[in-house]
Amino acid sequence: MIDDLDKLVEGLLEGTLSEGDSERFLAHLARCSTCRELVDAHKTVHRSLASLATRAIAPMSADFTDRLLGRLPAPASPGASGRAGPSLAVVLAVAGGLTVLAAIGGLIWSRSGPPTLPAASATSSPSPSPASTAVEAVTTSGITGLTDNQVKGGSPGDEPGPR
Amino acid sequence: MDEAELVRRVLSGEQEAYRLLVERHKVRVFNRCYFILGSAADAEDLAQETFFRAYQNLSKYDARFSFATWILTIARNLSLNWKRKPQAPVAAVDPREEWVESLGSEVPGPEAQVEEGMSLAAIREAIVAVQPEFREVLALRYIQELSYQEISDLLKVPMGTVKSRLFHGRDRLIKLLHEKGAAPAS
Ligand SMILES: [Zn+2]
Repeated sequence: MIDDLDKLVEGLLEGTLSEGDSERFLAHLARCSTCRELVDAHKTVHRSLASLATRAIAPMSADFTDRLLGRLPAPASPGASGRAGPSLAVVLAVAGGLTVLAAIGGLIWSRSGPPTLPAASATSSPSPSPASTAVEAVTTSGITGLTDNQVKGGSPGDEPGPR
Repeated sequence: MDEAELVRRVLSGEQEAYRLLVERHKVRVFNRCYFILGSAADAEDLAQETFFRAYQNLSKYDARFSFATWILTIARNLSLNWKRKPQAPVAAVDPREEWVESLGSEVPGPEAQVEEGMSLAAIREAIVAVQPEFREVLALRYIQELSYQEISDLLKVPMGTVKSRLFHGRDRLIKLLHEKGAAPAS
Protein backbone atom coordinates (compact mmCIF):
# COMPACT_ATOMS: atom_id res chain seq x y z
CA MET A 1 0.00 0.00 0.00
CA ILE A 2 0.97 3.62 -0.22
CA ASP A 3 0.08 6.91 1.48
CA ASP A 4 -2.59 9.14 -0.07
CA LEU A 5 -3.88 6.23 -2.09
CA ASP A 6 -7.27 7.88 -2.64
CA LYS A 7 -5.80 11.07 -4.10
CA LEU A 8 -3.31 9.13 -6.22
CA VAL A 9 -5.96 6.83 -7.70
CA GLU A 10 -8.24 9.78 -8.36
CA GLY A 11 -5.43 11.70 -10.02
CA LEU A 12 -4.43 8.72 -12.12
CA LEU A 13 -8.00 8.21 -13.38
CA GLU A 14 -8.42 11.87 -14.22
CA GLY A 15 -4.89 12.39 -15.51
CA THR A 16 -4.28 15.18 -13.06
CA LEU A 17 -1.25 13.80 -11.17
CA SER A 18 1.88 15.90 -11.13
CA GLU A 19 4.84 14.38 -12.93
CA GLY A 20 6.52 13.53 -9.65
CA ASP A 21 3.44 11.88 -8.13
CA SER A 22 2.77 10.03 -11.34
CA GLU A 23 6.29 8.56 -11.48
CA ARG A 24 6.23 7.64 -7.81
CA PHE A 25 2.79 5.98 -8.07
CA LEU A 26 3.54 4.09 -11.28
CA ALA A 27 6.78 2.82 -9.76
CA HIS A 28 4.83 1.63 -6.76
CA LEU A 29 2.20 -0.06 -8.92
CA ALA A 30 4.93 -1.91 -10.80
CA ARG A 31 5.87 -3.76 -7.63
CA CYS A 32 2.64 -3.83 -5.60
CA SER A 33 -0.03 -6.15 -6.93
CA THR A 34 -2.53 -5.11 -4.24
CA CYS A 35 -2.53 -1.51 -5.41
CA ARG A 36 -2.43 -2.59 -9.04
CA GLU A 37 -5.59 -4.64 -8.64
CA LEU A 38 -7.25 -1.85 -6.77
CA VAL A 39 -6.43 0.65 -9.50
CA ASP A 40 -7.74 -1.74 -12.15
CA ALA A 41 -11.01 -2.15 -10.25
CA HIS A 42 -11.37 1.61 -9.93
CA LYS A 43 -10.69 2.05 -13.64
CA THR A 44 -13.44 -0.40 -14.52
CA VAL A 45 -15.99 1.18 -12.22
CA HIS A 46 -14.89 4.63 -13.36
CA ARG A 47 -15.63 3.72 -17.00
CA SER A 48 -19.00 2.21 -16.12
CA LEU A 49 -20.03 5.25 -14.10
CA ALA A 50 -18.84 7.60 -16.83
CA SER A 51 -21.15 5.84 -19.28
CA LEU A 52 -24.11 6.99 -17.19
CA ALA A 53 -23.95 10.42 -18.80
CA THR A 54 -25.46 8.82 -21.90
CA ARG A 55 -26.81 5.43 -20.87
CA ALA A 56 -29.85 4.85 -18.65
CA ILE A 57 -29.03 2.91 -15.50
CA ALA A 58 -32.36 1.09 -15.80
CA PRO A 59 -34.81 0.66 -18.66
CA MET A 60 -36.96 3.76 -19.16
CA SER A 61 -40.50 3.66 -20.51
CA ALA A 62 -40.43 3.91 -24.28
CA ASP A 63 -43.21 6.50 -24.13
CA PHE A 64 -41.47 8.74 -21.60
CA THR A 65 -41.31 11.76 -23.88
CA ASP A 66 -44.75 11.31 -25.41
CA ARG A 67 -46.28 10.96 -21.97
CA LEU A 68 -44.59 14.15 -20.85
CA LEU A 69 -45.60 16.14 -23.91
CA GLY A 70 -49.14 14.90 -23.46
CA ARG A 71 -49.20 16.46 -20.00
CA LEU A 72 -47.93 19.86 -21.02
CA PRO A 73 -50.38 22.70 -21.31
CA ALA A 74 -51.04 23.66 -24.90
CA PRO A 75 -48.68 26.36 -26.11
CA ALA A 76 -50.07 29.73 -25.14
CA SER A 77 -49.77 32.83 -27.28
CA PRO A 78 -46.24 33.49 -28.52
CA GLY A 79 -44.04 34.79 -25.76
CA ALA A 80 -45.91 33.08 -22.97
CA SER A 81 -44.09 30.35 -21.08
CA GLY A 82 -46.95 27.89 -20.98
CA ARG A 83 -47.39 28.52 -17.29
CA ALA A 84 -51.01 29.59 -17.58
CA GLY A 85 -53.61 27.70 -15.60
CA PRO A 86 -56.13 25.40 -17.23
CA SER A 87 -56.95 26.44 -20.74
CA LEU A 88 -60.37 27.77 -21.64
CA ALA A 89 -61.02 24.56 -23.54
CA VAL A 90 -60.37 22.46 -20.45
CA VAL A 91 -62.55 24.66 -18.27
CA LEU A 92 -65.36 24.50 -20.80
CA ALA A 93 -64.98 20.76 -21.16
CA VAL A 94 -65.18 20.29 -17.40
CA ALA A 95 -68.15 22.62 -17.06
CA GLY A 96 -69.86 20.90 -19.96
CA GLY A 97 -69.11 17.49 -18.53
CA LEU A 98 -70.54 18.45 -15.17
CA THR A 99 -73.68 19.87 -16.73
CA VAL A 100 -74.25 16.75 -18.79
CA LEU A 101 -73.56 14.61 -15.75
CA ALA A 102 -76.02 16.55 -13.65
CA ALA A 103 -78.65 16.27 -16.34
CA ILE A 104 -78.13 12.54 -16.78
CA GLY A 105 -78.01 12.01 -13.04
CA GLY A 106 -81.24 13.93 -12.61
CA LEU A 107 -82.85 11.95 -15.37
CA ILE A 108 -81.85 8.60 -13.91
CA TRP A 109 -82.88 9.70 -10.45
CA SER A 110 -86.30 10.88 -11.59
CA ARG A 111 -86.93 7.70 -13.57
CA SER A 112 -85.72 5.00 -11.25
CA GLY A 113 -84.76 6.43 -7.92
CA PRO A 114 -81.13 6.82 -6.83
CA PRO A 115 -78.73 5.63 -9.50
CA THR A 116 -76.82 2.52 -8.67
CA LEU A 117 -73.11 2.85 -8.36
CA PRO A 118 -72.23 1.13 -11.64
CA ALA A 119 -74.68 3.32 -13.54
CA ALA A 120 -73.22 6.44 -11.99
CA SER A 121 -69.68 5.50 -12.79
CA ALA A 122 -70.64 4.56 -16.32
CA THR A 123 -72.26 7.91 -16.99
CA SER A 124 -69.36 9.78 -15.47
CA SER A 125 -66.72 8.12 -17.58
CA PRO A 126 -66.27 10.97 -20.07
CA SER A 127 -65.59 13.56 -17.42
CA PRO A 128 -62.80 12.42 -15.07
CA SER A 129 -60.06 12.95 -17.55
CA PRO A 130 -60.57 16.67 -18.29
CA ALA A 131 -61.58 17.35 -14.70
CA SER A 132 -58.48 15.76 -13.26
CA THR A 133 -56.38 17.53 -15.86
CA ALA A 134 -57.79 20.85 -14.74
CA VAL A 135 -57.14 20.07 -11.09
CA GLU A 136 -53.63 18.98 -11.90
CA ALA A 137 -52.97 22.10 -13.92
CA VAL A 138 -54.08 24.23 -11.02
CA THR A 139 -52.14 22.39 -8.34
CA THR A 140 -48.97 22.25 -10.36
CA SER A 141 -49.11 25.88 -11.41
CA GLY A 142 -47.47 26.68 -8.10
CA ILE A 143 -43.75 26.11 -8.18
CA THR A 144 -43.25 25.21 -4.58
CA GLY A 145 -40.51 22.77 -5.36
CA LEU A 146 -38.28 25.42 -6.83
CA THR A 147 -36.47 28.10 -4.98
CA ASP A 148 -36.81 31.65 -6.22
CA ASN A 149 -33.18 31.83 -6.95
CA GLN A 150 -33.36 28.65 -8.95
CA VAL A 151 -36.36 29.60 -10.98
CA LYS A 152 -34.72 32.87 -11.88
CA GLY A 153 -31.82 33.14 -14.15
CA GLY A 154 -30.72 29.54 -14.34
CA SER A 155 -28.23 30.01 -11.52
CA PRO A 156 -30.26 27.72 -9.36
CA GLY A 157 -29.48 27.83 -5.71
CA ASP A 158 -25.88 27.12 -5.14
CA GLU A 159 -25.07 26.13 -8.67
CA PRO A 160 -21.68 26.71 -10.23
CA GLY A 161 -21.13 29.46 -12.72
CA PRO A 162 -21.53 29.32 -16.47
CA ARG A 163 -19.84 26.37 -18.02
CA MET B 1 -29.44 22.67 -32.73
CA ASP B 2 -28.28 25.15 -30.12
CA GLU B 3 -30.15 24.72 -26.83
CA ALA B 4 -30.80 28.41 -26.35
CA GLU B 5 -32.47 28.39 -29.75
CA LEU B 6 -34.58 25.38 -28.78
CA VAL B 7 -35.69 27.15 -25.63
CA ARG B 8 -36.58 30.24 -27.65
CA ARG B 9 -38.68 28.12 -29.97
CA VAL B 10 -40.55 26.49 -27.11
CA LEU B 11 -41.23 29.88 -25.58
CA SER B 12 -42.61 31.13 -28.87
CA GLY B 13 -45.16 28.33 -28.83
CA GLU B 14 -43.34 25.57 -30.68
CA GLN B 15 -43.96 22.77 -28.20
CA GLU B 16 -42.30 20.15 -30.37
CA ALA B 17 -38.96 21.86 -29.75
CA TYR B 18 -39.31 20.75 -26.15
CA ARG B 19 -39.33 17.16 -27.35
CA LEU B 20 -35.78 17.63 -28.58
CA LEU B 21 -34.68 19.04 -25.24
CA VAL B 22 -36.31 16.16 -23.39
CA GLU B 23 -34.81 13.56 -25.69
CA ARG B 24 -31.39 15.10 -25.23
CA HIS B 25 -31.50 15.17 -21.43
CA LYS B 26 -33.91 12.50 -20.28
CA VAL B 27 -31.32 9.79 -19.65
CA ARG B 28 -29.18 12.01 -17.46
CA VAL B 29 -32.15 13.34 -15.57
CA PHE B 30 -33.46 9.82 -15.05
CA ASN B 31 -30.06 8.55 -13.87
CA ARG B 32 -29.68 11.51 -11.53
CA CYS B 33 -33.11 10.77 -10.05
CA TYR B 34 -32.21 7.10 -9.71
CA PHE B 35 -29.08 7.98 -7.77
CA ILE B 36 -31.20 10.02 -5.39
CA LEU B 37 -34.22 7.74 -5.02
CA GLY B 38 -32.82 4.28 -5.77
CA SER B 39 -35.88 3.07 -7.65
CA ALA B 40 -36.48 3.14 -11.37
CA ALA B 41 -40.21 3.77 -11.01
CA ASP B 42 -39.69 6.68 -8.63
CA ALA B 43 -36.85 8.00 -10.76
CA GLU B 44 -39.07 8.07 -13.81
CA ASP B 45 -41.84 9.88 -11.94
CA LEU B 46 -39.40 12.45 -10.63
CA ALA B 47 -37.86 12.85 -14.07
CA GLN B 48 -41.34 13.49 -15.51
CA GLU B 49 -42.04 16.09 -12.86
CA THR B 50 -38.65 17.69 -13.44
CA PHE B 51 -39.30 18.22 -17.15
CA PHE B 52 -42.82 19.39 -16.42
CA ARG B 53 -41.65 22.04 -13.94
CA ALA B 54 -38.83 23.06 -16.22
CA TYR B 55 -41.35 23.64 -18.99
CA GLN B 56 -43.50 25.75 -16.71
CA ASN B 57 -40.49 27.85 -15.75
CA LEU B 58 -38.70 27.87 -19.05
CA SER B 59 -38.95 31.64 -19.40
CA LYS B 60 -36.63 31.90 -16.38
CA TYR B 61 -33.91 29.75 -17.91
CA ASP B 62 -30.72 31.72 -18.45
CA ALA B 63 -28.93 30.59 -21.59
CA ARG B 64 -25.54 31.52 -20.12
CA PHE B 65 -25.82 28.28 -18.18
CA SER B 66 -26.01 24.82 -19.66
CA PHE B 67 -29.51 23.44 -19.89
CA ALA B 68 -28.21 20.23 -18.31
CA THR B 69 -27.03 22.08 -15.22
CA TRP B 70 -30.34 23.87 -14.94
CA ILE B 71 -32.56 20.83 -15.33
CA LEU B 72 -30.45 18.56 -13.15
CA THR B 73 -30.61 21.13 -10.39
CA ILE B 74 -34.38 21.25 -10.68
CA ALA B 75 -34.38 17.46 -10.30
CA ARG B 76 -32.18 17.71 -7.24
CA ASN B 77 -34.32 20.40 -5.63
CA LEU B 78 -37.58 18.61 -6.37
CA SER B 79 -36.19 15.44 -4.84
CA LEU B 80 -35.89 17.17 -1.46
CA ASN B 81 -39.67 17.14 -1.03
CA TRP B 82 -40.37 14.11 -3.15
CA LYS B 83 -43.02 11.76 -1.84
CA ARG B 84 -42.38 8.27 -3.06
CA LYS B 85 -45.32 6.34 -4.38
CA PRO B 86 -46.44 3.44 -2.21
CA GLN B 87 -44.50 0.42 -3.37
CA ALA B 88 -46.44 -1.53 -5.94
CA PRO B 89 -45.57 -5.20 -6.26
CA VAL B 90 -42.38 -5.19 -8.28
CA ALA B 91 -42.66 -6.86 -11.64
CA ALA B 92 -39.81 -9.24 -12.18
CA VAL B 93 -37.30 -7.80 -14.58
CA ASP B 94 -36.49 -10.02 -17.47
CA PRO B 95 -32.79 -10.78 -17.03
CA ARG B 96 -32.34 -10.96 -20.79
CA GLU B 97 -33.45 -7.39 -21.04
CA GLU B 98 -30.84 -5.07 -22.45
CA TRP B 99 -31.37 -1.38 -22.68
CA VAL B 100 -29.93 -0.52 -26.00
CA GLU B 101 -32.81 1.91 -26.40
CA SER B 102 -31.54 4.15 -23.66
CA LEU B 103 -28.56 5.54 -25.45
CA GLY B 104 -30.16 8.93 -25.79
CA SER B 105 -30.44 11.05 -28.87
CA GLU B 106 -26.74 11.70 -29.16
CA VAL B 107 -25.45 8.38 -30.29
CA PRO B 108 -22.17 7.73 -28.55
CA GLY B 109 -19.17 6.37 -30.37
CA PRO B 110 -18.63 2.63 -30.51
CA GLU B 111 -16.25 2.72 -27.54
CA ALA B 112 -19.00 4.11 -25.35
CA GLN B 113 -21.26 1.24 -26.30
CA VAL B 114 -18.81 -1.40 -25.23
CA GLU B 115 -19.96 -3.15 -22.11
CA GLU B 116 -16.97 -2.66 -19.89
CA GLY B 117 -17.07 -6.11 -18.38
CA MET B 118 -19.55 -4.93 -15.78
CA SER B 119 -23.27 -5.23 -15.95
CA LEU B 120 -25.32 -2.09 -15.59
CA ALA B 121 -27.83 -4.16 -13.63
CA ALA B 122 -25.17 -4.96 -11.05
CA ILE B 123 -24.26 -1.30 -10.67
CA ARG B 124 -27.91 -0.36 -10.47
CA GLU B 125 -28.42 -2.73 -7.56
CA ALA B 126 -25.20 -1.90 -5.77
CA ILE B 127 -25.34 1.88 -6.04
CA VAL B 128 -28.38 2.13 -3.79
CA ALA B 129 -26.34 0.63 -0.96
CA VAL B 130 -23.61 3.27 -1.25
CA GLN B 131 -23.87 5.97 1.42
CA PRO B 132 -25.82 9.01 0.19
CA GLU B 133 -22.91 11.43 0.67
CA PHE B 134 -20.73 9.31 -1.62
CA ARG B 135 -23.55 8.64 -4.06
CA GLU B 136 -24.20 12.35 -4.36
CA VAL B 137 -20.60 13.10 -5.30
CA LEU B 138 -20.55 10.22 -7.79
CA ALA B 139 -23.70 11.58 -9.42
CA LEU B 140 -22.35 15.11 -9.61
CA ARG B 141 -19.12 13.89 -11.17
CA TYR B 142 -20.28 11.16 -13.52
CA ILE B 143 -23.86 12.07 -14.44
CA GLN B 144 -23.80 15.81 -14.14
CA GLU B 145 -20.16 15.92 -15.25
CA LEU B 146 -19.21 18.73 -12.90
CA SER B 147 -15.55 19.49 -12.24
CA TYR B 148 -13.98 18.93 -8.82
CA GLN B 149 -14.07 22.68 -8.29
CA GLU B 150 -17.76 22.91 -9.19
CA ILE B 151 -18.62 20.04 -6.85
CA SER B 152 -16.54 21.63 -4.12
CA ASP B 153 -18.39 24.94 -4.56
CA LEU B 154 -21.77 23.27 -4.71
CA LEU B 155 -21.32 21.10 -1.62
CA LYS B 156 -19.17 23.64 0.20
CA VAL B 157 -16.49 21.10 1.01
CA PRO B 158 -12.77 21.27 0.17
CA MET B 159 -11.63 19.81 -3.13
CA GLY B 160 -9.63 17.15 -1.27
CA THR B 161 -12.87 15.98 0.29
CA VAL B 162 -14.49 15.74 -3.14
CA LYS B 163 -11.66 13.54 -4.41
CA SER B 164 -11.71 11.45 -1.29
CA ARG B 165 -15.48 10.93 -1.50
CA LEU B 166 -15.21 9.94 -5.15
CA PHE B 167 -12.56 7.38 -4.29
CA HIS B 168 -14.47 6.00 -1.32
CA GLY B 169 -17.74 5.99 -3.26
CA ARG B 170 -16.18 3.90 -6.01
CA ASP B 171 -14.42 1.76 -3.44
CA ARG B 172 -17.68 0.99 -1.69
CA LEU B 173 -19.27 0.18 -5.03
CA ILE B 174 -16.42 -2.19 -5.87
CA LYS B 175 -16.84 -4.00 -2.56
CA LEU B 176 -20.60 -4.28 -3.02
CA LEU B 177 -20.15 -5.60 -6.55
CA HIS B 178 -17.60 -8.06 -5.26
CA GLU B 179 -20.05 -9.31 -2.64
CA LYS B 180 -22.61 -9.86 -5.38
CA GLY B 181 -20.07 -11.70 -7.45
CA ALA B 182 -20.11 -8.98 -10.08
CA ALA B 183 -16.90 -7.24 -9.12
CA PRO B 184 -14.23 -6.18 -11.50
CA ALA B 185 -10.78 -7.55 -10.76
CA SER B 186 -10.07 -6.56 -7.19
ZN1 LIG C 1 0.58 -0.88 -2.80
